[in-house]
Amino acid sequence: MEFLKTLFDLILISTMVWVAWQALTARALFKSIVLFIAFGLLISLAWVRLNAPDIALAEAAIGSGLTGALLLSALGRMRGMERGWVKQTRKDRSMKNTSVWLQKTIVSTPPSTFLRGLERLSLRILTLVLAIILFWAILSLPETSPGLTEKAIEALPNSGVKNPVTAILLNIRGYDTLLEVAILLLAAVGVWAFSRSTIRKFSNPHNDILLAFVCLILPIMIIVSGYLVWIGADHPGGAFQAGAILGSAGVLWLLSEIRRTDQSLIWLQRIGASFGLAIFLLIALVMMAIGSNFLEYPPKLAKQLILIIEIAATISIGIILASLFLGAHPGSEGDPLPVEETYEDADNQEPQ
Amino acid sequence: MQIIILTAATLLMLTIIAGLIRVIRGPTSADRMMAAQLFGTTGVAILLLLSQALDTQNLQNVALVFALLAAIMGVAFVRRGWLMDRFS
Amino acid sequence: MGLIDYISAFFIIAGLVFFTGGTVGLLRFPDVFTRLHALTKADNLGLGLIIIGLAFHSNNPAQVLKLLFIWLLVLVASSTVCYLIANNALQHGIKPWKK
Repeated sequence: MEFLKTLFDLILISTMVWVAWQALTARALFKSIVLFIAFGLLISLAWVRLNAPDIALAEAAIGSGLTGALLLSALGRMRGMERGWVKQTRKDRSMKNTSVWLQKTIVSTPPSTFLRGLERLSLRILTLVLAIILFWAILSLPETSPGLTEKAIEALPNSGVKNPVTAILLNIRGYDTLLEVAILLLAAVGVWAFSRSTIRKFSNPHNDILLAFVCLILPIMIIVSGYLVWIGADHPGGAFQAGAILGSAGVLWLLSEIRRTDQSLIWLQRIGASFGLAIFLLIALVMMAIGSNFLEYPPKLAKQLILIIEIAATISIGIILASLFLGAHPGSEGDPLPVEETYEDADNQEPQ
Repeated sequence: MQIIILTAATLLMLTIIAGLIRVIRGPTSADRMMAAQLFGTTGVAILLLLSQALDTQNLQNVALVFALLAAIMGVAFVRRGWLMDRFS
Repeated sequence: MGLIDYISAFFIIAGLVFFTGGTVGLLRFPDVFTRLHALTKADNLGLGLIIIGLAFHSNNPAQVLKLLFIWLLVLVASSTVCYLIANNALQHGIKPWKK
């Protein structure tokens, strides 16, 4: 039986290495993206085998689902710009000029063949030396290291939850999580600074099956997200995983294009994105006002406070991830939004 | 019983490798994305078998998340990622 | 191994057969539409039989319901995605394979 588990692990590891190699050396970008999605699934299985179901949940939801959707959307837009079906904005053009300039000045190839061969040889030797150093470093690690496991398990009964991962994320190292939620909000603000939202004409307006599917799946995803937050106290789950599922629900809603414009969602995006950080900060400051330190929960109230923070963080993370997928500033009320061409015109064009 | 479950998980792992060949070779984009869809379902099966073999119930939640995200990937491909790339 | 174990093993092996069949179909069929056909067999029957096999080992009815719920979710999701892929393949001009 142990032999079978080891066999499974060996096959998993070799498949992961092979997929990673193929994804890096693929010529077609689309092939790389699909291989990257497959790699995400395999890594999720690896986390499961390493006894880390929380990370497996997060990897499956964020690393495979959301990132895969983001990359596919970006590739579609890139191809659309190349073939002239999608209008380039001014920022797109300036970014493209910058990248061309970078390629010419910084990443330039040497003129003669001898120097090129020398460059390649030195790169290979450097990589080999780095690999040897890494191997030696890993092999010289001690067999078991004490770490902080005992102290964390000792502090568990006072933290209000039974799942050690949730206890550490939200109670013992709550400060890190507070800053992480703030970073997510900053990422959303940064993306909004990039470009304006555009009205996308429907590419397939009468796809009833997609609409029926979305109407069925969205409530299920919201319920699953709430379920993951609730059981995060005792079993693997928690705010980030549930937020990622909520973000996927938002992405699905955006993809099916049920609503025509995104302008009416501005206040939803703004309030929802800052809601998590606001509640987290509020509770931290209230703790300071009561008499404990910043972010130190009294043990009797810890479970309820953690639950409140987790629910707020889930809503926030979901809305932030969905607006990262939307990728543009929602615009102000009453502004006319520019209309973007769609990929539907592609069907009438000749193959190139 | 454990032996059968673990053997089944290993065989499903081998089917993932076979599906990867389709991703690498597949002439159109649709072939590649279909194989990724198959990976999602096979991942669900592997996780459910592992949850029985390792005797934890947590992996069933991971299987639930796998099932949901396979849908997201497919819809994202069909709506945004698939342009007139006939041979890529 | 008791009777329950034998029945469960039978279902799991049957599910494996369908998964293997679906993957072999994905590898060997000539065009997009036929490969989609093979894919859905793996999704529906393969996963369904494995879940029936695992349901025999559950501790309470809630677990069986959860497993069935996962199967239904995969069914709905993969059916919709396969229909969308086939529909868009037709619109993009990929012709079905003719002998």
